[in-house]
Amino acid sequence: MDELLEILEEINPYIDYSTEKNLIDGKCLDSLSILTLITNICDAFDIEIGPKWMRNENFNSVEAMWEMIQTIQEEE
Amino acid sequence: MTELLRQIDETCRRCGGRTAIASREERVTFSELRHRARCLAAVIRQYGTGRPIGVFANRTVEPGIWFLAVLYSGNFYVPLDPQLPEEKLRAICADADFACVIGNDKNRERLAEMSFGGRFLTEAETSDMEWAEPNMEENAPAYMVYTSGSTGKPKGVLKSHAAILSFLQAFCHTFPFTQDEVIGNQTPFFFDASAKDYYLMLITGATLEVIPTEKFSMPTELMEYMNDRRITYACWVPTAISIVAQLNPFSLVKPAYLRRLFFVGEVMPMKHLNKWRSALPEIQYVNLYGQSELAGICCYYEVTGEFGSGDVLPMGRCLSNCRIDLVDQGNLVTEPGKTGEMYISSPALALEYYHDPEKTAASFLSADFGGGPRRYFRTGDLAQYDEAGNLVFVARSDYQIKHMGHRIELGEIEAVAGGLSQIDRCCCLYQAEKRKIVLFCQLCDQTEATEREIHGLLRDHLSAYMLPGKVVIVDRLPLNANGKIDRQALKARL
Repeated sequence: MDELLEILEEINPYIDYSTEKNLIDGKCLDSLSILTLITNICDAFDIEIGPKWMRNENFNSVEAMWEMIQTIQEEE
Repeated sequence: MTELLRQIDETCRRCGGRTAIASREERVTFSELRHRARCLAAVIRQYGTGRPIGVFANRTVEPGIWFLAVLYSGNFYVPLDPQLPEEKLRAICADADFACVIGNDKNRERLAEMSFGGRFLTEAETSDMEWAEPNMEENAPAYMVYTSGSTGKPKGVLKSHAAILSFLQAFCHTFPFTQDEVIGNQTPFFFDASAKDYYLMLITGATLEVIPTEKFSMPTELMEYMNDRRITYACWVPTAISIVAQLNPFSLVKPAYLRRLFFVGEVMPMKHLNKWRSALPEIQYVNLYGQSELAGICCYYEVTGEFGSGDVLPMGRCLSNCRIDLVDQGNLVTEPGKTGEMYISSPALALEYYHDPEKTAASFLSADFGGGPRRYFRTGDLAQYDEAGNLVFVARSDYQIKHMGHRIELGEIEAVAGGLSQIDRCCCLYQAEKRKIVLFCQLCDQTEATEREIHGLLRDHLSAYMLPGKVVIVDRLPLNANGKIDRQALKARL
């Protein structure tokens, strides 16, 4: 989870990721940030995030992203 | 009423019960649009006619009603971006000297915070006053957009009813539109490119769907939303199209109803467009070229045939209401492969830069390149004709530099670097004081390359004098509010 937080803080250090549960729907991250985020997550965790995972609910909070990463790792 | 307003009024009556504008939460029919706009117009009319009216352009259906209300009142509107920094908003308010500003309660608070002294109006304040038909000339101003001026002072470009109508007639002649179209709007209403979507809806009776901004972050959801709303036509900025291509949702879901995808505002990277073309080969793809100083666009190029990753799409040919002349040192350029600055002549040209006769006279001028004098707009864009007679963008004239005795187009370096498989997007600047060409680049997904490696690859494609003295890899290139690469922000990093 720390590694994921590091990735997020690098993209935008001004968001409190421990409390923010609306990263996408609340427009905290724009589409280019999300593009960078997805690329960096794939690199760091050695996973592929297919189109079925690209939904707001999977990126709205750190917890949701972490759960998604773990599920993809298990599936792979 | 002007002919434009008369035709819009006719559409509203003809398509009464059909949806005019829809967002995720709400929708208004053409009858409601006409009724609400006329009610508000009666109130605006109290503040006079021929005056600028500020309209906060939130991404809801309301600005679409408010814009029309301003037209019905005999005034012209100025879309205001609610996210503008306070200083910029202040500068625009000072320059425009609004007769009143229309918005919602949230916008009212925003203006109150910056001690805005003018009148503020919400739709709730409409009364039972009767709307009266305004007296207007065909070339009465319809709207004004503020663009960033090179000096930092916002620059208002004023466009007339006649200019908008001229564009619509030419565009619809080339690309027939019916009331069955559903337009998927991406560009915010304060961005001039959205005027095409808005007026196409008003003149044809098509539906304008305002796609929620956050959908562009998750292409899978975007595609589903487009299918849910049965979107048939979209005109987006290349950045939005590129992001969708990079996250590639097409193996899971495709936009089933989309028949036309147009793009405008910057150069479309072919490697991203090719992903769309291979996933959705039956769609019509069209590259558009326009300027803020003109209503709509002036050139179009339908993408057919093969284009490689590094190829640059032509701007194509003029719409029937425009004439473009390439001019080099006062002489007309007609030979393919020779570069000239683009001069546009058209009834769709803007009236003026607001309150700036000097700048207006410098950019809008009368010249005779054959067939008598015409009013031209000097674009500052350099172009050539290819062998097929298509116009091809070369560079901005102000991105042209003299370096080591050679005349160099920075755009050419960008085109070569952008064609490398490792580079997603790039921007080339010139550090005059150090006489150094600096290339900022953003790498493609899952690509690893060092600055030294990129430099080495460029060496294979560029003459020695054109090689950047410095390559800087950035996580992502800064973009301005319109989604274009923010050159000013990059200049600050030099």
